[in-house]
Amino acid sequence: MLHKNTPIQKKLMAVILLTTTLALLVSGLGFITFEIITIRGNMMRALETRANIIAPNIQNSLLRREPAAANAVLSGLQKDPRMISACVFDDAGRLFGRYPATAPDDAFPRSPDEAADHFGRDFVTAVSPVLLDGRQLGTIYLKSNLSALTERYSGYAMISATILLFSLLTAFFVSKALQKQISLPILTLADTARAVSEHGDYSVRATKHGADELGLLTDTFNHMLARIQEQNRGLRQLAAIIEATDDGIISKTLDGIITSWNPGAEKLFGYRADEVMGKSVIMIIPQELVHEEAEILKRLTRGESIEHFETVRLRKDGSRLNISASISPIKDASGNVVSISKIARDITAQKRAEAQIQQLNADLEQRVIARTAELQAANRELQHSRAELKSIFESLPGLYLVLTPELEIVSVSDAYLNATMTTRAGILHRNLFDVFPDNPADKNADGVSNLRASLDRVKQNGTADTMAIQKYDVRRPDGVFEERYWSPINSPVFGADREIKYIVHRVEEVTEFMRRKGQMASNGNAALSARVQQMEAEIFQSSQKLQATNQQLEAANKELEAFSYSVSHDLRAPLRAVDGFSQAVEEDYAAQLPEEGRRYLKTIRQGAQRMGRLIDDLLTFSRLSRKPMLPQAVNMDTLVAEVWEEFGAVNDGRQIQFHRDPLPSCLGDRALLRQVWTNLLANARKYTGQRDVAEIAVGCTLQDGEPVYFIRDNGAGFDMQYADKLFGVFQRLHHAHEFEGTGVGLAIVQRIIHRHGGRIWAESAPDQGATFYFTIQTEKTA
Amino acid sequence: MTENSIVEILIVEDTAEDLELTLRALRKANVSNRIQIARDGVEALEFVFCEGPHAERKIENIPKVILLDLKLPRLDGVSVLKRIKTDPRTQSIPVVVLTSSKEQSDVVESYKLGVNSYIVKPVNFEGFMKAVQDLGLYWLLLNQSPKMES
Repeated sequence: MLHKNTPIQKKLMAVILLTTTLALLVSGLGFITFEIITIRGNMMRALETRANIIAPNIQNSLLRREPAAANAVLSGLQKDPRMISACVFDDAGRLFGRYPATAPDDAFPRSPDEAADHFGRDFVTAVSPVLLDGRQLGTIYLKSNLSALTERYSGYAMISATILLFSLLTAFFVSKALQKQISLPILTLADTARAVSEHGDYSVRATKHGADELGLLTDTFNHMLARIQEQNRGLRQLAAIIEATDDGIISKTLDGIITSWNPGAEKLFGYRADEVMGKSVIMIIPQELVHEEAEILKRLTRGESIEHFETVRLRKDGSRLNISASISPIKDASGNVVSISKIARDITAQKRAEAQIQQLNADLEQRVIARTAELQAANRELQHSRAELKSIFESLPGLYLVLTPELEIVSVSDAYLNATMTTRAGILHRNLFDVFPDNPADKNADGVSNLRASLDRVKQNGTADTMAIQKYDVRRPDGVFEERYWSPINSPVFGADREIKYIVHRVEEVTEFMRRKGQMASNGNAALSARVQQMEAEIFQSSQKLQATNQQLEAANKELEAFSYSVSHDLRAPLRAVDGFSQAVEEDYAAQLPEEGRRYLKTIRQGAQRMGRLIDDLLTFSRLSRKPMLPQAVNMDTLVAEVWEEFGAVNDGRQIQFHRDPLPSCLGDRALLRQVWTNLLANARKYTGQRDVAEIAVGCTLQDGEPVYFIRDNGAGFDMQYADKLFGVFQRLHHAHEFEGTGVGLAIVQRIIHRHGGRIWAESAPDQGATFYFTIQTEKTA
Repeated sequence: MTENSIVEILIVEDTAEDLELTLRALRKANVSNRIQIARDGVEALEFVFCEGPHAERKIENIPKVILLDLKLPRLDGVSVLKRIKTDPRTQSIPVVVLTSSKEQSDVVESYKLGVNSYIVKPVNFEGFMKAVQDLGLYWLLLNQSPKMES
């Protein structure tokens, strides 16, 4: 009746009814049993009592030996239909009287000894002695049927059945009313669970009906649903990732049977999921790598994970695939490995790149080794040739001294040491003039000053300087000076930075020659010797003169510079007064001046300021000749951009289209070249002042393989017949009221270009704009 | 100039016109501090170091600022500057150099000796204000100096 699938409502009902029935039955049975035992006792006692009542009536008949009388007494029993039989035994144990009178002997016990109080199956017997004064006259035996009992039985049964029925009915209705409290929440829960399982909808929630265990169950259930919902979301995300990723994600059983295969794996291996599901993973493992799988399995079953395991797998088309696999065991709740997941990434490209890098590295290493060897060889070579050069230099027949620009002796040839009676250790790293002072005994000695002047010229001009024959006495080790004549030449040696690094001082000793001249004079070849002597003297004198003039010229140059500097400063003082006081008048007394007077003042100030600019420009111009050049690689692009940007800062509201082509770099003095571009760009701006849209272009063309920088404008231009005046100082081709200027700008530009060994020229026509071209000659070797 | 009045600005300038323009610029900037004038380098040093006619002066009363022309008779401005800036008693005096041109050498040389600012002549209101700003000497522009009547 209670099948597993029976609804819980019926189960509950059945349980209640069954329990009720059983309880009733057990209690009823107990009650009835007790009743029956009691009744049976009572029946026995009633029968015994009856026998005792009958006994006195029997006494007489026994005494008188009248069985009929006994039978008559006994027949009174017929009033009771339940009585089956009765008999009286005499004192000898013989059957004396009976009931029913007709009953055969065997209906009774054969002797009183056999008779006893006894319950039979459907009868009950009682025995009682017939006593008279303590003497047993006989025995009465009564036998009754159990109909009374049976009646009671059926009575009990009837009552019990009625009670049972009534109880069951009551129980049924009561339980029906009460069970709702239990079954309703369960049913709600069941309905919710069904909804969840049928529609996979984890968002529904069961209604809670109370705070009892069922309420708790509902809460737990809802909580579980929430957890599932959350996990589901996570799972969906994971699934989406697995679907979308390019990595192949595979899961398999412990014996290598594929159980899942994502689209990434399809792409990677070329197999569709339905082609591999349920098959062994061996199908994508190359023959020679099958052993890997066993090893992997062994490690995974130990619970280990394998990360970034690089191996080779087969695609469906048989091609081989380099993959990096991360393999991890999937464990059940108790930690047993139940399956395996594997993420495979295609690293074919990576492998190829790695191989390339390795190859490149190997190549590089080879090259480095080769290069290192080369360098070492070159270094040895260099060391060798250095030593060789040193010994060659030192054994040169010529007389050489190598000096730093500070005149420290750094190298010397053996011949020089011999000629000057010095030793290498004695002069190296000492100052030239400490080692070779003038002969204090010779009042006219000018060797030191002449040599110093020559060396200064070398340093200043960066060119070799040949000196006239010098009398420059040398000191012997014993301190005595010996007369010596020399013909020296000093030449600069430039370093990589184009600065003078060394000065080579080369001399020829001409003392012997000078002495022989004297001998020739005394040898009588008077005419010839006089002539030679005269010539020598003339040469010596004129070169001495030349030397002196040269030095005077230098001094004059310096004086001139100081003069122009001083003049331009002194010129400024009165100018300042003119401008300053004009300004003071303007500021303090403008109101008292008529319009005309104010205009005059303005003109005075303009004149003074213009003269100030002229002086400034003159100063700049004169400075150009005395400022030493610092040649370096100059990026013309950046330079022009910088200069133009500075102009841009002056926002005069003009519309200027500026175009700059890429310019080649050059070798020159950056500050001076900056001046060139500043002046040229300023000119271009100035002379396009009357154009609505000024156009200025800077570029470079090649002429006979030489770069020619140019700057072109669409300004006022000039007449080519005056082109030769263009670059002269204070030369102007336009009137001051048209275009302001001092007429020095282009002269400065030309001076700088010439100092750089370049050329500058211009092309133009009146009102057709102008183009200025220039070249910068630079040493190609730098 | 009495003994107990403290000079606050020393102007070293030989050109009368330049001097007048400088004084005018100070006046226009509302500077009313006591001003001492030296016409050459020697006079300037005599004043600063309390020698010769200034022997009675106390060197502790250093001027608050010196406006120094570079081109001076007898002893030039650079030499004056060198003396002032190498003496520990006077080296803290701010020195504003007055230059007649923007010739770089002047400026560079002056800076090497610790020039605090410079003005290109003629000294006008704007140039003077610029120097005052460079030096942070705004008090110079106050009409009343706290130490004047000590």
